[in-house]
Amino acid sequence: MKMHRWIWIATATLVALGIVGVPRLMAQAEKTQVVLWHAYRGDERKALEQVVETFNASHARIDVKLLAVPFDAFPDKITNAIPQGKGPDIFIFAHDRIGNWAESKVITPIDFWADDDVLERFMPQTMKPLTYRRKLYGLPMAFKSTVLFYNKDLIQTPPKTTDEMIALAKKFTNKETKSYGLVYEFANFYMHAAWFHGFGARVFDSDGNVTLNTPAAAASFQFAQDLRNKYGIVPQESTSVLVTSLFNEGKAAMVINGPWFRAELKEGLNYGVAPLPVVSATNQPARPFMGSEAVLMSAKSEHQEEAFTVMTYLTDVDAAVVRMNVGKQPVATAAAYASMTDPMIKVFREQLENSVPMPNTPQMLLVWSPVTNALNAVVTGGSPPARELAKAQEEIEKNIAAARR
Amino acid sequence: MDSQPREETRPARPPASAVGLSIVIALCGGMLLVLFGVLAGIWARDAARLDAMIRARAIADAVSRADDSTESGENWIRDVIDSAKTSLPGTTEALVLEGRTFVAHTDHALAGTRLDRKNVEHKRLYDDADELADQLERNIDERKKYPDLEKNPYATAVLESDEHEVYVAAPIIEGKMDVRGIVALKVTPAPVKGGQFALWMSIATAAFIVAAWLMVRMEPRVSQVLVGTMFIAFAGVLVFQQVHEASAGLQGVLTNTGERSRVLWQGAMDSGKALAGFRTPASTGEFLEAINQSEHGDPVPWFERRGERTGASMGGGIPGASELRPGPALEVDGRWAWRGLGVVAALMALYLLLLVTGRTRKIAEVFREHWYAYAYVAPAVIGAVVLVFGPFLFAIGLAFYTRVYNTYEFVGLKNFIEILSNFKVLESRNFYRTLGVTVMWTVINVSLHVSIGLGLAMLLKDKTLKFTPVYRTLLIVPWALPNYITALIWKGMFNKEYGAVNEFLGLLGIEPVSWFTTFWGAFTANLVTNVWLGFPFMMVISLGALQSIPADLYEAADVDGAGRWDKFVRITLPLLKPALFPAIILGIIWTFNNFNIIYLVSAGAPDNKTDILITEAYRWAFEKYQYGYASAYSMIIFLILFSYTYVTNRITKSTEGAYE
Repeated sequence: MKMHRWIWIATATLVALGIVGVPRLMAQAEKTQVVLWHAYRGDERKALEQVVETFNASHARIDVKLLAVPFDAFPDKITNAIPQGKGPDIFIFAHDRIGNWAESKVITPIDFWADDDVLERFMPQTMKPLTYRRKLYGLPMAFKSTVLFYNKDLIQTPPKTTDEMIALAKKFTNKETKSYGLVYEFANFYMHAAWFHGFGARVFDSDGNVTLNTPAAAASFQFAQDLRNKYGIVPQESTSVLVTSLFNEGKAAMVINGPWFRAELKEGLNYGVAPLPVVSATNQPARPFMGSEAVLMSAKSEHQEEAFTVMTYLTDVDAAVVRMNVGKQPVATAAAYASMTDPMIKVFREQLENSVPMPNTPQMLLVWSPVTNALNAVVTGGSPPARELAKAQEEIEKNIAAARR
Repeated sequence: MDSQPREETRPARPPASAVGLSIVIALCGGMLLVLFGVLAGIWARDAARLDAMIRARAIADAVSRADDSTESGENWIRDVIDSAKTSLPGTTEALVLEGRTFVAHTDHALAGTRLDRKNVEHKRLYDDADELADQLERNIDERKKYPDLEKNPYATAVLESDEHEVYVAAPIIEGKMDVRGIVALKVTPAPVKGGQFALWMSIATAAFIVAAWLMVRMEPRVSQVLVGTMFIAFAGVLVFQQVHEASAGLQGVLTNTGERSRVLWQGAMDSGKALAGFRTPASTGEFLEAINQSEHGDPVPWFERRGERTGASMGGGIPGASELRPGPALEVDGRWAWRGLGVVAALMALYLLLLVTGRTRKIAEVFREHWYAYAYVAPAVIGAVVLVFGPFLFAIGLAFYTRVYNTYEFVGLKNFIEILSNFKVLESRNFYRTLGVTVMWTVINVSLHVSIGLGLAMLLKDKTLKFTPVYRTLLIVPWALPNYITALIWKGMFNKEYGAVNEFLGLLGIEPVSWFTTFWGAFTANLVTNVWLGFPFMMVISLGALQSIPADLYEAADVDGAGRWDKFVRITLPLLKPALFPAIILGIIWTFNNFNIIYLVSAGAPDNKTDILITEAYRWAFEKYQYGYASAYSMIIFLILFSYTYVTNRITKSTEGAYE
């Protein structure tokens, strides 16, 4: 009977599947699972997946499970999920929240495992921001800071100084076609930070006091205002979406943005990157904020030792080469640069020498909102910088005192 | 004994007041039993912790004075530890561990184990040492800034334990604040005597219940009040006796273990191998104080962890035990007695009041007849309590606190006063200014929603109009899209140079407007976005209500020769009122608290001037991290909306009869 044959075949298949499948399942069960959360997309994600695949294939006892979480929701998810025991074992994020997470016991120090031969892999600038209250909280994967993007169809040699930049930008600014020489989010303090530090200003002094109300800071704010009002080389208002679309349409000759910007550019756009110019007024290079993107360990992880093995693997030379060449990441592992194939990475590395790590203290979180308000008032509202900075300084000091006391 | 005729058919029914009083006495007795049962456990544990910590601290202090320049330092420390086990009964295991954190001291002659990376227990101890170093450093930092903090020398103690075994760790401090190692001790505390309170409380509760039943035969009301009051008085005596005993137990530990530890410490000092220069404390009290200070004069933190373990060696597998808590106080907190008694006495007083005024019988009747109704709503009530009222009560509580570095301090009405007493109404972020903006925002929005929605509904209702379903669908689209997407699109359209709005105005010959640099510009941008989002709701509501108005009313009006306007004012509007009024009330609440639009479109620009109350409250919580202040802010918002709904509810009640 036909029916019978089918039943036999089905049973045989099931049995065969069982024989092959059960041991495999059991083998799976013996592995310790390490959950890794990340917010990567595009090439970076591809590279990370490739690295993790190699890891899983070569490690019998550990199984890394990747989970991609949208970037905007990432810090909040970490802050909420980990204390409830639902978070990852390790995750990848920029260093600027380390202070806050360490204070609230979301992440745990890794000094216990970190041998000197692991720590010596990394460029020292990328290590320092991962330390909070003398303890190390992560291993650096990559560093990210802004650089100068330029349209190669319009500009052959990128400017070396801000005076050159302004002169060049004026040439390409056309009010009729709404094209601008320089497009960047000038009302965003993160983007402004390059000028801020280039004029010699700092957010905190070495004792942790707020130092916004200084002539240097005021000069940098004035400079940003001049770019818009005096020279007219930047758009009247700018958001990140606008920056992307103007550069893609060829209506922006130069753009200040970070390595993630490359993923947003359209195929075939003829562009180049260069270190940010020297601020002519102070003869100091513009120094953007540097974010050290690190793999951090959850304080609630039950497999910390295994997790650290994964962390070491992700940051060793072989993995770093993949992340650099496939993921186009400016990686923190120094030895990887011997096998660099992407010339743009070299520029990011040059910029690292002239950058300021974002402060990782909880106090920094109280700085963003008032300083952004001040920047807005100065650049778009036309207010005098000194007054707005004094106001911001006063408010931040008040809030820091209130948050503590 | 009851005059009601119905009672005669059910003669064996017990008197309601005796049942009620029994329930209340049992409830009060039970509450006190549970509360003080828990507190007794906490107090006993506190005493055990204190006991263990004094030992650890004494050893750590002795070890920190070891003369590390001599070869015999290691043996000397071993001697101290060995004598600890003999001279301090209950010390089951002791260990001195040097951590890798303290790299500067790796060649120190300190005894004990080197950390092993593959050893899970070492990792845990390492974490402890780490946490201790952190606590100590932080303590010194904070005290420099706020000298009035932390008067209690144990305030930075961090610990956890259970009643059978206490696991403590104390840092070994060298010089000013270098933590160079860790002393870990496992102590089995002396058994805690107790159970007396539970016994006496149970007896008292039972006795008073019996009394309530006996005395009800005499003079119900007077005797019940008498029994109730006496019960509370007697419970009070028991409670204070309990507090007194716990205090005595704590003092016993302080003197007993304190003295033994002093002897041990003194022995170590007298061995002649310690560094010179320490001062011999004159009394146990002085000794206890001395070992709690680093050389810098700062209190030294303690450390303790739960004692369950699997491994054989010190520190054993402690699942999830890295939670660290503040240490025990030096005194039993007597305020708990007052709090517990206060709640119970208030409950009893409330009951007696009901009894005297004769309400108890009625409540009992209602409950007896409708008990199943309470059973049905119970799940929903529990859900609401956990998900809504719990967080809500938490927020109310938080409004009276302010954060003092990692804890919260009660400040009473200070947050409210700070918000409400600032009358600089011209400054942005001022409460009254923000309130004004919020009210204006709400009024303009809702009026536009209603008039546009109603107007469109009237048009759509017109029978002569073709393709009505198409228009209707299109007009509902703004409502159907997620509002944050719409908000972001509108924000892009208000861009000065590239936005669609200015392009359009340019066609009309109007100069480009910089929308987000002036208050009115930004306010208008918010308003346009929200009107776009808000009118479809009002339109849908009006459309439904319009269709339910009987056509013959209009026909009758036509016969009477009424014009369009008359029909609208005299028929349509009055009959729309019952449907539209609740929608408007809801609309006002939604708009008043419309966080998304303000946050996404203008983001408060310029300089937080277009912020409404709810976005302002958000900024206090998540941009300035002042949770207490933000809670007070949201409480005020709640009170405003609450009184608003209360008033409107009374008004709508009068309109409810429109169809009747």
